[in-house]
Amino acid sequence: MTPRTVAAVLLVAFISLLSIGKFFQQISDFFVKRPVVDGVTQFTARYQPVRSLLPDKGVIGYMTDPAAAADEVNATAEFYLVQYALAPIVVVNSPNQRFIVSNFHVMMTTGAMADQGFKLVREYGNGVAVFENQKWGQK
Amino acid sequence: MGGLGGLLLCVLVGFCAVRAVWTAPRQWSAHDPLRLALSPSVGLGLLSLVYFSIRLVLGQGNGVAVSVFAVLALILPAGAWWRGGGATPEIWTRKSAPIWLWVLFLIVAGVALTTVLMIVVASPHGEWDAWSIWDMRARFLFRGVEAGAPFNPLMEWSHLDYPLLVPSAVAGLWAWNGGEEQWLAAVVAISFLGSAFVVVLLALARLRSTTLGLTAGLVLAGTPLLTRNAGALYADVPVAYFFMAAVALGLLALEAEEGRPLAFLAGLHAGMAAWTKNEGLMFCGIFVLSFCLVIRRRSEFMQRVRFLGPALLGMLVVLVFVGHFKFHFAPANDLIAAGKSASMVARVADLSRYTMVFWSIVEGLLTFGDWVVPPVFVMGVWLALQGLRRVESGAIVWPFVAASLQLFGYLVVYVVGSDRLEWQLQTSVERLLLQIWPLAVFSLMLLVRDSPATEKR
Repeated sequence: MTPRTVAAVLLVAFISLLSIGKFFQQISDFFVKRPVVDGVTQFTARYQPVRSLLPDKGVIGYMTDPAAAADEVNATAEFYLVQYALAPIVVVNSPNQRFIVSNFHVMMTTGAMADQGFKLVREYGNGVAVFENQKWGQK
Repeated sequence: MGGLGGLLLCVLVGFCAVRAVWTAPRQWSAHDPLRLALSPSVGLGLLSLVYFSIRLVLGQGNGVAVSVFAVLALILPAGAWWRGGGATPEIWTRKSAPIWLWVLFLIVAGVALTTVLMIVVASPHGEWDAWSIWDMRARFLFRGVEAGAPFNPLMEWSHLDYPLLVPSAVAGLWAWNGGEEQWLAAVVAISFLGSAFVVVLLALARLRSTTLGLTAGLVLAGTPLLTRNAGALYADVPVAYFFMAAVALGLLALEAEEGRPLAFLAGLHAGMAAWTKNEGLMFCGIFVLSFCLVIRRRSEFMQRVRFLGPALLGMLVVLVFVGHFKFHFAPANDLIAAGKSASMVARVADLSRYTMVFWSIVEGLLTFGDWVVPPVFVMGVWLALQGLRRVESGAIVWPFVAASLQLFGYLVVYVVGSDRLEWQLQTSVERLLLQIWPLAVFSLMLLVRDSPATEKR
């Protein structure tokens, strides 16, 4: 190799090593401080018991509380994660289905839900429950 | 057999498929390292096509998909063995590169692979698009009892038209495993990343010199964005790999004495790109167009004919599956659907859209890759030090023309198709540049002068 080639290759090698080394350091810092269970696994685990109740196919509605829905990005992410957890059931971001799965962050009483026409089918804790829409099929 | 067994079987199937097409004597041959580097992607691609056909087209269960792939795993080694009987021995004529360059490459590649491993251990489900598109589709395929369920129009938000190589390869591995294991999705992502490092190295070592191959490998392994994207479990790294591998195999076909098998493999890889992401469909057209643009001398005419036939055949093998998916399952692409509206003419006539796209791409190029110094400057200095070579044949500029046309194609799609241009540019320019990056690096390596002291041509 000519000295120019050696210089060219060393330049590329040095910058490559520095770039990936810096990235490695950032990831290492994150890695040692990471939670025992990652966020997606933690979130979707809440819906694991719901899956066993549901059939192998079909559509289910989805409901969250107004406070959560206000944060658009998080609300969208959580809806997508519920779909990810419940596949192959199709989750629709609307309560206009016969059965609805909830993702509540604040306390909701069954009485308040019943007043809105949603009868509790089963509660799983952590804001997760399945409701039946009493108004379904009336229109 | 387990997921790991399924994965090893994919590598075996890929290796035997490549050897059945690009034949070699039955013993370990000079180009087998390159064949081996191509095997994970070819094996996973074949697994995804088998899984798609059995589960979605024929509506059969996971067990049937596994059985059919097992039959393929029996047939292909026999085919490779039989075809190897009359193959001529392979000779490696290139000199090796200095040891210190190999050591540097292994360090950088090792750091990149360790980093991506840490990312997938910390976030096994990847980032947003992984769990809202790719792995979610894999779950639908694996768990579902209805062929059409993953493409229910109620889930329009999850880009139902996106092709299925990654989801159905992951679901296929889950089927081998007998259950969902998230690490298998990560292994698919990492295998494409690793293949990109090694294929660029070995293809350039065969075409030009091991030094240039190692330099290209260093650049790719040293690009944090490539590692980050692989760890996010997105499909951009696989599609980027297929772009580069298709053109690299195409060039190897043009240089080989009997290039038709390699041309077939090149076309197959272009087709696999279309089976990975919609951008791959554009690439299939650009692959052929750019080749016809650069190979146009009368003396090269026969070269063009000898190459295009098998390349188109290889491409067609995969495009048949892509076509079936697009016509029977997928809705229209959101950008194309937006492009059909009456406002398309207004978009084309709006000059501000061109400038916005142009400057976004320029900005993307200047900040690309998460390098400590923008790669545009580093590669510029590197080019100045190495010097450009004299272009003796159009084939040498083919990868550069293909990469440039692909970039131009993205610009046109932004201008014509997007109705949320600013948002689309913010969220996708970096990833689209990443898709072209391995091909761009490969093309730059072909344009520089060789070092006469170490390499002979």
